[in-house]
Amino acid sequence: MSDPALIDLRDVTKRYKRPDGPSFDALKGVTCTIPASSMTAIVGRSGSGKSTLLHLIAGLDHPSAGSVDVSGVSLGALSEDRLAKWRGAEVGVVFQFFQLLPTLTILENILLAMDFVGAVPARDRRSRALALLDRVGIADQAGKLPGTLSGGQQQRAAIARAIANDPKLLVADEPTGNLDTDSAATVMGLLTSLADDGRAVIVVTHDDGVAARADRLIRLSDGMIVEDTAKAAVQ
Amino acid sequence: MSPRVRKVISDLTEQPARALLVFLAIALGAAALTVALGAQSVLLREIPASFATSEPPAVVVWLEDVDSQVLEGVRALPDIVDADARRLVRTRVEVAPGDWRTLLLFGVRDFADLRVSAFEPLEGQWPPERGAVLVERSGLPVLGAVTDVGTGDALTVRIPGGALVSLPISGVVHDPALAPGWQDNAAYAYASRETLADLGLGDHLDELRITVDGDRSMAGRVADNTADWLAEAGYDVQRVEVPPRRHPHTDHMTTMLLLLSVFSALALVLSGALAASVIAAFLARQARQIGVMKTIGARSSDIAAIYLAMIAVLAAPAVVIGLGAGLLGARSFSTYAAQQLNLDVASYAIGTPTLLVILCIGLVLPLVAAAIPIARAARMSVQKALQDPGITAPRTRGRAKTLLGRLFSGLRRPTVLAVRNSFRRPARLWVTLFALALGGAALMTASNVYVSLIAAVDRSLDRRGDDIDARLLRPVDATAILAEISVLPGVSHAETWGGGLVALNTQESTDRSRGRYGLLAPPADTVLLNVPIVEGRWPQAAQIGELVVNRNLQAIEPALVIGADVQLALGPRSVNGRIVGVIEEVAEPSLYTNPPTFAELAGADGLAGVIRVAADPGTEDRLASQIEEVIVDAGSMPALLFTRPALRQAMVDHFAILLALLSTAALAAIIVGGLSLAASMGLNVLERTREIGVIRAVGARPAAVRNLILTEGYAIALASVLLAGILSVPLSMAVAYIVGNHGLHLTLPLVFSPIGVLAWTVLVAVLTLIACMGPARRAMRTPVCDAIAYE
Repeated sequence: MSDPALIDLRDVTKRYKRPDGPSFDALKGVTCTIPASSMTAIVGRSGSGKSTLLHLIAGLDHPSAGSVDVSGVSLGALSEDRLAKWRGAEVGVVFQFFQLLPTLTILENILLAMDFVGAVPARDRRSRALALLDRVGIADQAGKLPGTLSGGQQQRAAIARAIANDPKLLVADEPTGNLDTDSAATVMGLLTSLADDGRAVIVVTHDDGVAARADRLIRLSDGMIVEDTAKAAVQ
Repeated sequence: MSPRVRKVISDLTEQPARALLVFLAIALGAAALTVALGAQSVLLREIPASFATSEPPAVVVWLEDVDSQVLEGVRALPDIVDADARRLVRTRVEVAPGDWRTLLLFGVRDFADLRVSAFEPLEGQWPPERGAVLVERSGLPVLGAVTDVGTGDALTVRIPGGALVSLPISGVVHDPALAPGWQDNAAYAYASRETLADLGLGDHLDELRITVDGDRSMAGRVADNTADWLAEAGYDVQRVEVPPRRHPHTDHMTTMLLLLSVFSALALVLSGALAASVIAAFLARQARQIGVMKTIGARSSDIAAIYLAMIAVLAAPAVVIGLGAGLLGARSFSTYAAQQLNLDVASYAIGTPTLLVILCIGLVLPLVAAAIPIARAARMSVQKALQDPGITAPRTRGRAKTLLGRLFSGLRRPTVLAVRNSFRRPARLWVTLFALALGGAALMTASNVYVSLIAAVDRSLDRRGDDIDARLLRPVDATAILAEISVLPGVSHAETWGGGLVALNTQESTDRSRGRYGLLAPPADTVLLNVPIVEGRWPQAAQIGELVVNRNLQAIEPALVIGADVQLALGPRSVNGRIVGVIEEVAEPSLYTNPPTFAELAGADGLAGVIRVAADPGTEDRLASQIEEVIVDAGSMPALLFTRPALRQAMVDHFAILLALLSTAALAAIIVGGLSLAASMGLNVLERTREIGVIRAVGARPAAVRNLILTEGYAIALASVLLAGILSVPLSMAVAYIVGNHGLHLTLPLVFSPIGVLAWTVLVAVLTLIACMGPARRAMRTPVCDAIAYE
């Protein structure tokens, strides 16, 4: 782990208020760093805080206490508007259920992400989107609506969308949870290759096979890190 | 509390926004229905009732003098309820220096014993003291146009013969049988016969007014019998008339109320559709709960009962509140309509049957509308219900999918997304579109029809070509008066026409009653009349007895068709004539003939009964004043004298009630449309909460999300403008046809006004902004992770 830390979480707590009872801490004082160019798997039982941790790292939610710094940027200090801009440029998100916009074609889904961020020059967006689709192996599906594709193809399209703006960080919440074995293997292969390109890839998973492909495994229980193991130890 | 009841209540409180929308939709539908049926109930009862308080005459007989002997004799005749004497003296009143208006001065037999054509005192002295008059309330705006006239002020009046007299006003009365004076630019006053005598007008009363116990055919028989009896008694019966015993605007009002009912019914149906649409979305979120309930033993009927009960819980108070609001609306509309007819509404009570109909429709319609989505949800299989994704955006299917993928691909991506999103719930989109478009179409129709009416007035005035129209009480020498008027500064062209009020007898007449209508005899070379003939032809220049009738007169005297033989009488002289042509114009019921026919009637050549003048712009008022003096100097007096602007205003004022009605209808439709859009946008955004979360996760800023929602709203709004434009064409044609043919008796020249389109475009833009801001704010404020996890 010679790479510098891309993500730095210090004493992060996330508290939720229950409508009819005491508040509940989904994360309790979590502290850890995650370097660039790595694949990290976050595992744990349901309710352990995995997805909450992922959302905080991706800037999708704010911690109740503590700080989340990514690439030296303190996410807590960003306004909603700047956070959205940061998220678009620096983070790619892959969901379990793909979450492609059903009324846009596969190509348009990817172009939309570039449109929002504006980092890629307008004249280059289409060629870049097609290149990304080619990289994930579904260039021939570019003009189709998501509903016409298989689950595996949709998830590959979602990965292409996630890297549309060439983010340093890619987070994936159960990316293979809704796929068959072959499709899951293809998707994990893609995520691994993206980590090899120099990105930090963080995957929340229940799947031991997926976790086994990670460089590092973080296990959560009751909102606390109970295990933080590097690749050699995982294997 | 039973679990089912608890579920109904908790479901409603869990989704308060939707419950509120359903509530508002039902309340609005009930309110629209109540306004229409309530106003109908009140006005159709109160118009005849208020009119009846005047004891309107069923028969009017003109004699030299209706003395007490005549009255006593006539009252004793069979089928006669009562009889009274009255006299009408046409005078002119000066409302400002040189500004003269028509004042109809009624001579009254006995103010303390009004038996026919009664009126009631409102303020001041009753009966008026000798030498003073009472004025009718609807003429006060005319009298007070320039001077602040009230009780105690005096009127400067020019009486027949040209003398100027001062008539103090000793009080104000209400006469429900008279059309509003402000509409006709005329005022009404009442004086005792002694006052008339003091003015040098004699104390005789020439109208015998009779009320009859029976319908109009009975009145016809009574008219004949009375005329016979009077003739046998040695009286000279000059004319008999059997006027219709209903308010002159009753048909007009019935048409208006029909239009209001049609628009209200549409608003009601759209409210029901809106409620059904919201309930469908509500049920979509409940699918898993329905699955669970079925798993534990609920039958489809149990499920349906729970949700129908929920609708009923919303509908009952909504209908009550809608009914209350509608009653207020019906009251306001009835008051306004009554004012337009110079009537009073004695009671705003709405009959129990009407209220029951409103309550039944108000309660049943939402249940019927909701029955379809409820039945669909209740019949869903357990497995399907449990696997339902909940409230998520629907997936487009089949050909629509392919089509959607190609639609609008040339636009910017966020715009493409927004526009395509608007097509994702076709049923909801159509309900919203139709509701909005109906509001827009109603507004455009109101604008189109009103502009068309104004165009009809202007076209009619253009075809006349004159700027000043004076009808003389007595004909004068045409050559002499024309010579004087032609040299007045500002007169560009002047003509004298034959003309006067003639008694008309058609061949179809079965009794002795004769209506009295305006006869106009323009010179053959007139340049101040260019009305096209719609049937037949104009009279030949020298053919005595050839007549043209306008549609307004045909509406009163349907026997006056081409070829019909008639008899005209002007004073003691009469002429046999034949209808040879028909015209359409915005004017009072009138006949046209050639100068020789008028000369035959008048018994002399070269007499002028009408003066028409084309004037230089801006000189009309001054010229009107000068022409008035010329006419008086010539030994006559104007019965009517209008400048073109004043005549135009008087005509336009008659359309005020129509504009109010169409605007009310448009307002109701616009509220339904706006509510529908708000509901639709709220549901659309709610359903796509997760998608919006995804968009934000991939970098869309809050402003981009807001713009996305606004673009979707404006896409619907734009479509509504187009659809409203299309719908407004047949709607405007239908309303123009009804108003033109039933109200004005002419084919309305339908004008499509850009004002309505522009007004709707601006209004729908504002409505869209309001409808979208709430959902957009919610979408922007929901944390991204919550939005992504939303079900």
